[in-house]
Amino acid sequence: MTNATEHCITIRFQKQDCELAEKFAASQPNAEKNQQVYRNTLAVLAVNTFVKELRYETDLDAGESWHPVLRMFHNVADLVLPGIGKIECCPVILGETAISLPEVRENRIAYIAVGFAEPFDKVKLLGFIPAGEFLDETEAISLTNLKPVEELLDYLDRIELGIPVAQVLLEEVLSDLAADDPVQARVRENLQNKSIAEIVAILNQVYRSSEQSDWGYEGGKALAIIGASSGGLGGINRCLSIHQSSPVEKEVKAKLNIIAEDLLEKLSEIWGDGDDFALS
Amino acid sequence: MTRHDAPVEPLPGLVPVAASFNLWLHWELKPISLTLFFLARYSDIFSGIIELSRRDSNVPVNTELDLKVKSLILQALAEPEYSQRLRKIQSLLDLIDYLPKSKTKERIDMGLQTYYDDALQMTVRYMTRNLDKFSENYDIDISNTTPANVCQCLVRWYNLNIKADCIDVRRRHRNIRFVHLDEPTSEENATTKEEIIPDPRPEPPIDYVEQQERFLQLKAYLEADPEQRLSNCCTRKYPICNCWELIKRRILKSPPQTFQQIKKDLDIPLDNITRLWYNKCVPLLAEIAQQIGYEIEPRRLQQKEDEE
Repeated sequence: MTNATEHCITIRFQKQDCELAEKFAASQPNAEKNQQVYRNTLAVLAVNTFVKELRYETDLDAGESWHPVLRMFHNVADLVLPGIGKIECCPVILGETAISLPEVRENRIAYIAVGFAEPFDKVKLLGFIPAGEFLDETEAISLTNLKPVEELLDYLDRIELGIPVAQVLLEEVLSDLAADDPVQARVRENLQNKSIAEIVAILNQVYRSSEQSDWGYEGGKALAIIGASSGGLGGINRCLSIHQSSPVEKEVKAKLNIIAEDLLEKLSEIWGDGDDFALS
Repeated sequence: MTRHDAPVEPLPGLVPVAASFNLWLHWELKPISLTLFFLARYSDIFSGIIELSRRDSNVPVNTELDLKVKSLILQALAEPEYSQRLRKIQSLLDLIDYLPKSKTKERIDMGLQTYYDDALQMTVRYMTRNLDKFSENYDIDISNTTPANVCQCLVRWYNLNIKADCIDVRRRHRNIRFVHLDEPTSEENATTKEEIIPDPRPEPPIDYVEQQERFLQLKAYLEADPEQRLSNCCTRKYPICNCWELIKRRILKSPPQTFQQIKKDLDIPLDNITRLWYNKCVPLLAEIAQQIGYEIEPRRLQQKEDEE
């Protein structure tokens, strides 16, 4: 058992939660999909309860998991936090040791592992992983890599505080970038490739794991990778091509380093040292 | 009450007793004797004071404070009246500062200290209203859990709530949107416990043949767009950016394409793609599903006006 999963939170369902999950599951084309939608719906409802307990607003209806057609075609369990982003709620069946990441990951800021065991009258929130902590190509995350779910509050706070700061600075940067310059066009493409919340999540990871002297280099590298990894193997290839360094790519990287450093300096003013939850 | 981290002075009477051990002939028994002596006198010497071993051991030891905390929680749970329960919770929170690792005003993040006093009022009310959730969240039966473990869980619950409330108060001060949780939760409206706990899930009586047929019908419709409803639903400026194109890329393709990939492929501004998707395609999908026989809530069918 990991440190994170020892500090899980139990969420008990209400009767109407199970009824709604059954309703969503009932229109699925086969038993396997029925089970998937049933668990995804309950996972989203459990995380919704927890996130609201953290005094954050949620919008169940805005999620793809709540759309009758989208949930039929994709394995989605997203919960929308208006103005912040989405949390993916990943069901974990008793005995599983990892969470499978969904194929649709746009605008996800975190992934929460939701532990199921029969009877489905309650679940355990086992922990979470911030979006910036793994590469786009990652398909599964071991439960041993999860952070305690109570630390989600700190994480959401940092993202919420970071979004307006990053937005102002990025708008300034983007307005200064010329469209006809190949370097500046590439920089723009990198910055517009993810939502502001995702960029803040990625920079949060850099902030937590790097020395201040490395913010430019590490932050620039992270921005370059997200710019390249818009999905699939093409993302990896382009990511590698950045490291092979043509003159244009070198200039793009240098520019991204400066932007990342500026962003991290601004963000560090509001993030400070932070405060890890004391888990007794 | 003495704080758990307050220095503990040895009682004056202990010094000569300890010194007398040095006069014993059987010196090899001294450590054992000393331990036994301390164990026997422990509660007398440190009455009302947190035990010394907790900070050095992972095994929680019940203390008088732990017992008091557990007792107050049980008393609060037994109070059906809000005002009576509130009083018990206030007494409980008077003690929480003395519990190890609790987020007191001094121990919470510097940036949140300003909001602590206001937040505390909200936390008291929240904990009073949601005390039943405490044992649920930490999956403990308070009566049958050791006082030390109850205290540990209480500190986790308190820390989470006081911090959430500090952030909420700061959000209000900054005039950012906030969620106010001072209202009773829907769970409180449930009349009995039986209403909350669902029955074990029965096997759903679902006709999968029928569901499969309907699903394939929907899929075939989306693949063929027989009435050109999907392809005709497009942005004025970019006819290539139409609902059928987006549905093929975002629903029928596995894995689905991201908006960024579609933007690159079609060379169309991202904004145009996402606006069309959310305002037109998503409601149109629901409309088609309803036409095929799925039960769809009316609000899903409303298309938003596109400014273009």
